[in-house]
Amino acid sequence: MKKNLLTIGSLLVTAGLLTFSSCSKDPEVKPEIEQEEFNAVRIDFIRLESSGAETTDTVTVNFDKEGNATPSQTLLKNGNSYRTLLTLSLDGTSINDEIIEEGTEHKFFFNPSAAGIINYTYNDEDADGNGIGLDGNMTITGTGTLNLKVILRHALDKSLPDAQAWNSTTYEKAGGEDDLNIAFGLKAE
Amino acid sequence: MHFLKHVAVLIATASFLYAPLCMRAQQSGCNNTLYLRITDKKSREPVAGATVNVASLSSMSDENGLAGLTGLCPGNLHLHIQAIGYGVFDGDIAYTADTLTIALERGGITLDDVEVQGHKQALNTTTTVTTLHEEDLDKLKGANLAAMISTVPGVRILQTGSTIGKPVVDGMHSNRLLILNNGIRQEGQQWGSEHAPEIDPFIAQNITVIKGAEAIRYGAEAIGGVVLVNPAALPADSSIHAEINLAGASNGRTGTASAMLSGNFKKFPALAWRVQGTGKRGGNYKTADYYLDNTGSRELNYSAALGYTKAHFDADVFYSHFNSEIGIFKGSHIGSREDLLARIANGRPYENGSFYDSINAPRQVIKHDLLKATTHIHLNDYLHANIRYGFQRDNRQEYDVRRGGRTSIPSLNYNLYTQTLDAGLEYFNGNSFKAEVGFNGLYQQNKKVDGTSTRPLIPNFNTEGAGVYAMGRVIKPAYELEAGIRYDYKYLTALGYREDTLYGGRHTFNNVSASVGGIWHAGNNLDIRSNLGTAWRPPTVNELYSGGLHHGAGAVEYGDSTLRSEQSVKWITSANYRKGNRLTIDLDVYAHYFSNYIYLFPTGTFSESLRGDFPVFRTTQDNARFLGADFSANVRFLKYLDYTLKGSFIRAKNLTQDNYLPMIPADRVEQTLRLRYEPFAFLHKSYLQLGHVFVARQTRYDPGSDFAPPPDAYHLLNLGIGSQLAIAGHTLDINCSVDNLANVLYKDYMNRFRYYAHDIGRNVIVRLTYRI
Repeated sequence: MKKNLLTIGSLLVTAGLLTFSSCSKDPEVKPEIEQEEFNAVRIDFIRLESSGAETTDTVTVNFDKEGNATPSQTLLKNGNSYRTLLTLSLDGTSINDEIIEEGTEHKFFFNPSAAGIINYTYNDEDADGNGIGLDGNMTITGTGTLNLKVILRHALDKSLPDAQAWNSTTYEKAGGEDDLNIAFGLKAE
Repeated sequence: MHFLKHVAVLIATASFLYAPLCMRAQQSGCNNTLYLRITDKKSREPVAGATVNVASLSSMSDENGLAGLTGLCPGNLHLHIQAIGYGVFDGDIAYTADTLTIALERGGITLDDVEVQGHKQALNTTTTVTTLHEEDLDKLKGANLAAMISTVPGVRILQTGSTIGKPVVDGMHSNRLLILNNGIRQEGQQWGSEHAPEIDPFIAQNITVIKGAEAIRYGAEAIGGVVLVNPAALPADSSIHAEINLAGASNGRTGTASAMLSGNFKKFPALAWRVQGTGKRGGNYKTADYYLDNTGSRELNYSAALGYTKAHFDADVFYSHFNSEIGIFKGSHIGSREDLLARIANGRPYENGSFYDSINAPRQVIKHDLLKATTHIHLNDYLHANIRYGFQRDNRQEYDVRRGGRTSIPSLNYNLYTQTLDAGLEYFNGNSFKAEVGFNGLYQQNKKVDGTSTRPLIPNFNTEGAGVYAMGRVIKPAYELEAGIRYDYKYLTALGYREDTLYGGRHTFNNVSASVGGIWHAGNNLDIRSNLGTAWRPPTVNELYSGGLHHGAGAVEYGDSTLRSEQSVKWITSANYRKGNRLTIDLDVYAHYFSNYIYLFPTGTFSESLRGDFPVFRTTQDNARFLGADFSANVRFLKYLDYTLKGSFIRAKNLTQDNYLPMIPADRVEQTLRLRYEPFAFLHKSYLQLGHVFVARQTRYDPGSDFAPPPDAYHLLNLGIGSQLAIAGHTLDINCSVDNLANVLYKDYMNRFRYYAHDIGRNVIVRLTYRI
């Protein structure tokens, strides 16, 4: 009986020691190359001649990773048309290719806070012939100040009616989720 | 002496004459019920699962050792009681209306220790215990573990849709509820509310829910209770046992098949074995009105066990593999707050979905391996020793809808390695005193698998823990008293990267817990148990270190590396009243106080990013209290009808902030009417039942703490029918249940998908179990 107790006792102590012998060293860890989120957005408004030819006149709005716009208000001229180019980038490198590659799953929408001032048409096309919005034409049709919201929807169903208009406010009904949701001030003179 | 002889002859003659009178009585007034309590002669503890026979009448004792036989005549009865691990009781007794206690002697066969061990774990406590036995599990098979045990009052489910569920016991879940899978603590990133326990319920012969703070025996995380998933003991006889289970559910068109084979080596009967496997496949499930796209699931599990039994020693080895792939509802993947608010305003998905069973991103892929080795040594008549070693590897992968072809790369990929070593000594002085000392050791490593290209949610970490405890128990015929004390130590070192910045830290936690409890056998029909115990829980890695957008939750969550351990005191009292089979009442009442209760607090501010803005939550700790009651009552009337009423109520509050805690289950009441009938001679144990569930609207919540108010109250109707046949000398159990019979469109507060969708609609499930 005593012998057994001794055996058990020593077994328990050994068990305890074994558990502690691999006393925790700090874990090893390697940084992960984070490739998912883009951390900057740039919108270029390139003024177009009435013929449609591009000028070198460009107005740029930059957005930082918190979505803050610089400048906070952009000035565009009533009656002009501008080629509107969006660039999403990660640490300075554009990731637009990824969006174009999965074009059928992505679409940009523009929601102006006041109607009748701007109009937009998509220049680019995905594999199904639907617009994406990285490249488009914006025409100023009135004067005033407004807040322009730019939304990128991912994994939406572009065939649905709520996904058709460039300024659709019911794009959520077409499914998917917000990948980009920023806003900036626009003044049309 | 001579006189006594005459008396004896007189009595003998009288009974001889009385017997024929009795025989006549048998034909006319034999509908008495005999109530028995079967106990272990040595330990005085109840013996569950003992078969009781009087002539052709048969019954089985429950977890309190109680059994009843109806249809008996008054007078002498020949009683035959059999239980594995015990000698057979075969004797004549006189019928009595009082509950008769029969003490069984432990059988001299080698299996007694193994058998009794299995039962002991479930009963050897003064806290509240409820066990689901084979018969109960047969009617629930095909569901996940959380859904099966939610039939116990006080147990609810924290759902992420219908395919992912975590048990909630008296308001406690995740790291506040310990789940023991075949005696080994289940470790698998359980801090995540959408991380379901990686356990195949088909391995269980019984599942036990312990509601007290069982911290003394199990250490940290048993703060809210313990769920024990216990497989059957390995067989002692040399025939092959088999069990085949088939279950088909209409909603989701889910099919499950499970088979188990166990036996004993004829040439080497001391060695027994068991192999088991389960396969499950299902597609998109449906609410009352629409399908939830991408909610299919697949599961493939298998296990093997080998056991060696000798006179004073037994050892067994067990291995199990769990593999599951679960689709996450497409419409639950939200972007910013705007997205979320639009979805909540719509109340349901924009599309009606359709049925298909392919699984795309977002989805979860989980693999869990468990290897266990145990040994039990019977040192002498008074002393037993147990040593248990477990090794687990849990791999969790989560896939999201990503750009640039990265949808096939997991956004979350962790390997969690856990080793546990438990050793204990049990002493019983053969009379009325028991003592137990034990040691629990744990060593765990969490390692991310590189290559996800996204910021890991939690850091890598190594943690080790050790605990020692001692418990004493006094067992008297009328009462039992128990007291215990435990010391725990835990060390955690974590390191991770956020972009190129290293973060982490080293933490040490210490704690002493104690408990006292008692059981009072107040008369033959009433047991009152009470337990007062302290418990603790160190903060988990995500509570300490989360920092950033939690994509699945659509929120930015920040941890706090200065968090201290949670400390709690729980007082639970239960009353169990049993009048044979006619009336059963179980009532549990508890009060649970926490200091440093850790939770996510909504700051009310928003984090702005290019994706939009997200609400910010911070991990913090406050004092909290939980008060609650669970009850279950069963009345048998008109001989064939049983009416059962169950309910659970919780009142939880944040004492520091003087407001309510989020995600506390609402009041729930369930009633069932069951008819036992015999339509044909070849059908046994036939039943038909109708159930009604009512869940109230949760009114105890703070508007600022949630994205949407709790859903309305709802009513559900359930139908069940079943029977048993004998086929080729073995039993085939068939049952069919219809859940949500009326196909109600409803939302449950504890379902994280309630922001985007409703709960599951009508589901017709057919189950077959064939036992050889």
